Amino acid sequence: MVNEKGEIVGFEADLAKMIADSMGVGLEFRQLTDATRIPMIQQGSVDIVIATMTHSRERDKVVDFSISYFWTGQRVLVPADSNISSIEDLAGKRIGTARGSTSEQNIMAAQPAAKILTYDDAATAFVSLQRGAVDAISTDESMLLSLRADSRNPADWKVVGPYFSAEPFGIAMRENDSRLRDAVNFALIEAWETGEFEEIYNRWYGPGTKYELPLNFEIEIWP
Amino acid sequence: MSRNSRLVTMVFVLALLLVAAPALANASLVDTIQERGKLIVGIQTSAPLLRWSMRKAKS
Repeated sequence: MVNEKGEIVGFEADLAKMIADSMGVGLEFRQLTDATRIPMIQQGSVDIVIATMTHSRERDKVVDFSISYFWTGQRVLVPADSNISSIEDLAGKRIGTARGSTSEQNIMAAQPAAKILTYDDAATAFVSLQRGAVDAISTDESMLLSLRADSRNPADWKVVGPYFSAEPFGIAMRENDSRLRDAVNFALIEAWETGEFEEIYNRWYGPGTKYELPLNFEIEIWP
Repeated sequence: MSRNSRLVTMVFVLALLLVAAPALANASLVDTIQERGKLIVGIQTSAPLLRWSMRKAKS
């Protein structure tokens, strides 16, 4: 997200800063969309991508991933007065999601009778929901909670239904660069061991925060 | 260029490739990042779009 000073901030931004610090270098952010994440890695426009990117086997054929740093699942966001309460209720409805995302594939598989409309990213899909162009949007729960919390009136929206996918997020990078993957993985593991990871997590998702989402997972730790 | 000269050039290029190949295979973005002095990270941010949607909602 972007704060009032125009700076990019958030859980993933802080993880990126932690990794850059661990490598002893500065940090530059480049904004991307779901669909441009892999091309930007392949073109060398970015070194790594930390962008709610699910580590899937299909993606692993073209880019490499770090160990997973976040686990979530896909759900549905609807207006608070909607009678949609589950994936089954979405049959025949218009659902917005991010183009080129695993969310797009998951929702098509979970509810084939829905009409899927795709957007550049989940935030644009949410704009479409606000304008009434879709009946619901679907993506990872963490993203849905962020969109709701950042909206003008969070009480206007509700996240419904259980998870219908598992979404382990990984940091993506170019294929076959073992030293880079080590640098990123070691930074994550060391941050977990020192408590820095939990500190960063709780800064954004801990008790009393806008996006409150208790830490209910452990990352992979190598001795 | 004579046939011998071409042969010498080819051998030289092949030798160069043999020497350079292991170094190229071990090249890592880590070196580029260190030389550049910064890590370039691709990230997503929804805030500008949300601000746009709020402006639209108000107008």
